[in-house]
Amino acid sequence: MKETPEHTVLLMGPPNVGKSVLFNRLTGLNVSCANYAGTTVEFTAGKTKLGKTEVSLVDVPGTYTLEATNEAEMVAVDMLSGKSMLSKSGSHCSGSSCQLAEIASSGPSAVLCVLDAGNLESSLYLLFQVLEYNLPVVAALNRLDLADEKGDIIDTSFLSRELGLPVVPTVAVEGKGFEELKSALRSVLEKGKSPSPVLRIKKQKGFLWPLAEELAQKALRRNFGDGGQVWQPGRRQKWGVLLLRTWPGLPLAFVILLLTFGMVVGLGMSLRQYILLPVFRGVIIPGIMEGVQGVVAPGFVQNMLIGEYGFLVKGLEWPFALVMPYVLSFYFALALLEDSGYLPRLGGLLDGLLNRIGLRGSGIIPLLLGYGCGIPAILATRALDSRKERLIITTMICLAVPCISQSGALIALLSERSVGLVLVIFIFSFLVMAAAGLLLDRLLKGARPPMVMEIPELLLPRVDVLGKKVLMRLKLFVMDGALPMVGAVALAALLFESGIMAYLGVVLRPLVSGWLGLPQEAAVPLVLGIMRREMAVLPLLEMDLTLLQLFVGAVVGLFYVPCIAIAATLAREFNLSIAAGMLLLTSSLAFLVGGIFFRVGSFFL
Amino acid sequence: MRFRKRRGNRALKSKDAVSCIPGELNLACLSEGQEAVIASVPDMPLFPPLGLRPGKKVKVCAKGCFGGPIIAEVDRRNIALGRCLAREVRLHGSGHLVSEGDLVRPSLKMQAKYPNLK
Ligand SMILES: Nc1nc2c(ncn2[C@@H]2O[C@H](COP(=O)(O)OP(=O)(O)OP(=O)(O)O)[C@@H](O)[C@H]2O)c(=O)[nH]1
Ligand SMILES: [Mg+2]
Repeated sequence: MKETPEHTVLLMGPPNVGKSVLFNRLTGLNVSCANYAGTTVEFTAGKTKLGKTEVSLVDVPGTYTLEATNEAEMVAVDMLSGKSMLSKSGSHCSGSSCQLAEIASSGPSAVLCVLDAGNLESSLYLLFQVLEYNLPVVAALNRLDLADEKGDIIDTSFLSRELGLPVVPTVAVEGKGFEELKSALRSVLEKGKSPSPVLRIKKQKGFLWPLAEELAQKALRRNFGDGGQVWQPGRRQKWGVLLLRTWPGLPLAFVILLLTFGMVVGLGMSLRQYILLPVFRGVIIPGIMEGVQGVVAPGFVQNMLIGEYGFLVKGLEWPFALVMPYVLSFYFALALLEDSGYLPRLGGLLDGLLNRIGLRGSGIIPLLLGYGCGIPAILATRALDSRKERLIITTMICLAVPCISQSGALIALLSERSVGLVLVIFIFSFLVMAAAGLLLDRLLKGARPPMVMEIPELLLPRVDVLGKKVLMRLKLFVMDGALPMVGAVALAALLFESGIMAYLGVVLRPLVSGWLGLPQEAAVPLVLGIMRREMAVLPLLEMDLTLLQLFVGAVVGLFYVPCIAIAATLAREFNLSIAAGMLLLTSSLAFLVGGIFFRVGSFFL
Repeated sequence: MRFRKRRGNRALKSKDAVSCIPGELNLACLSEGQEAVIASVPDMPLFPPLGLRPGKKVKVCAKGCFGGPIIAEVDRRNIALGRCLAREVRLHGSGHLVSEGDLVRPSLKMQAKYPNLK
């Protein structure tokens, strides 16, 4: 193991100022950034070089104030007081960074507090609260480009003098001001804390807001160009508001969602149909077949490799030619929605409707993330301030929100007959979500607090950021998605070739054939589906199914248990009994609905 | 006056009319484009950092459909507030509220021509 740096620097600040962008640029890591409050919900540590010394930098969830109102903010406050890493070590950090953060359990050595040039007052208030912890602090005044555009000029040297700490102007997305920031950090780490002149005078709590207002007012000069007295909102600001109004916002929301769905399905399908499938079926797989046949004699081993579930055939084709195109198209569309700042607007528009099924507008973000992968989606519910709502959304995600791998499998399965079936399945899943929400809202205890949500400025997504995001998702998919999928196919091959599958088929026949009306082999996806969500659907592709069987299979696959990784996440975020309950709920509902569909369907068809 | 007539019609139709007793103005009473000064806010930790503090000028940018949130603008920032919370944000002023936003709103062209129109 490499030597760990002696200093730990926390990146703190209000939500959505650009802490994670700054963190990524400074450490070379790739944590997710998006244009809404509450993107980061756990801490991540990384290393950065300040001249010769290396420090570990920790990206922390954004906080409006240090009176935490949700679990994400609590992580931040715990980090600042050096508690989190001692008490709940590992439970709030992501992946490999746990190690780093745990070593830093003595507490942070300094804080890099990021201020929002567009909201100087509240940023300063938070800074005052941070200063009370008596740590060395450097402030970065970020988003200066946006303030500039509105004609705001902020006197950073005045702020720096008054606050008694370095205030460095930055534009995180362009990497501006980073060298100054680093050298300021270095000198602060060497020198230690210097007392803050303003705070010394008025330390009482009630004075912090007036003090922040006064400082902000003195530091800020507004210049509205050509002598105007009133700030004229630009085109982005005007659209930002129009998208929130019932007219034209609501019809536009419908159009935007439909376009997004169309883009994900259309782009994914054409990538698969016209590029990946021809390459795989025409070049790669025949090549592998030939190679294996030349080396391995026919029999068990050859069948494992290139037989019906041969993992060199299906194990490559499924993840790379079937699921990957949708990973690309989905995350591209999601990045557009995330970075533009449209998601919170959608939340604001739909809040009234969502209220009826026990949710608030802010819940739309984790739900949409769930169409990518359930794990980050469930983590994202930390940014909500009600446990009841967290549970409702989590249940919806486990039950009826297919992850992108499963969606890819469903699209491939159903679109061979008709694309309309895909739409039917998705609409049906919305209905089930609504029903689940209605029911849980009544059943679970606790009130739903009213919504308070900041709507970020509408921004034009940057091409380089979009590209980087999609690339990162692709990398993540290959490591965390495709490789396990190859493993699952290998397991399928083993089960199939060893005859265990046939045995399972017989055992499960009453359920699979008797109750659901599916062929006996459909026991396979039910077994594998516990491991990975898409495996509950993919094997059905290889069976000649009737229209009704297709539909029943798809419905069962959709509602069937979420993958094992989600079960682990549930146990970690909530507790074991909720994880177990969710598994029970989803599997029993899947069989119930599937069976009913089969009976009703065979009555009509 | 054009402005007054419109507001009158609206007040009759809107459900919020009930909560808008003259002399006790709250954020949910304003219609899109109107603005006023905050008198008091409910004691919630999230309010002050979002700019919702007594003395601040607040404008209603949009009102959500189906009983959705009020989208308020404070210090050029937009905040979505559930209706029942918006009702607890008391405003200075009462009765007929004449605001810059409402007078100007009928014609954006006029606004562009006379930026100082108030
Ligand atoms: N124009 C401009 N945009 C910025 C700047 N810094 C960040 N952004 C954008 O602001 C948004 C939020 O950035 P994040 O890094 O996710 O913000 P965060 O502070 O980590 O937010 P939380 O994790 O929610 O606390 C992203 O869409 C960025 O592209 C900047 O200096 N200028
Ligand atoms: Mg972040």
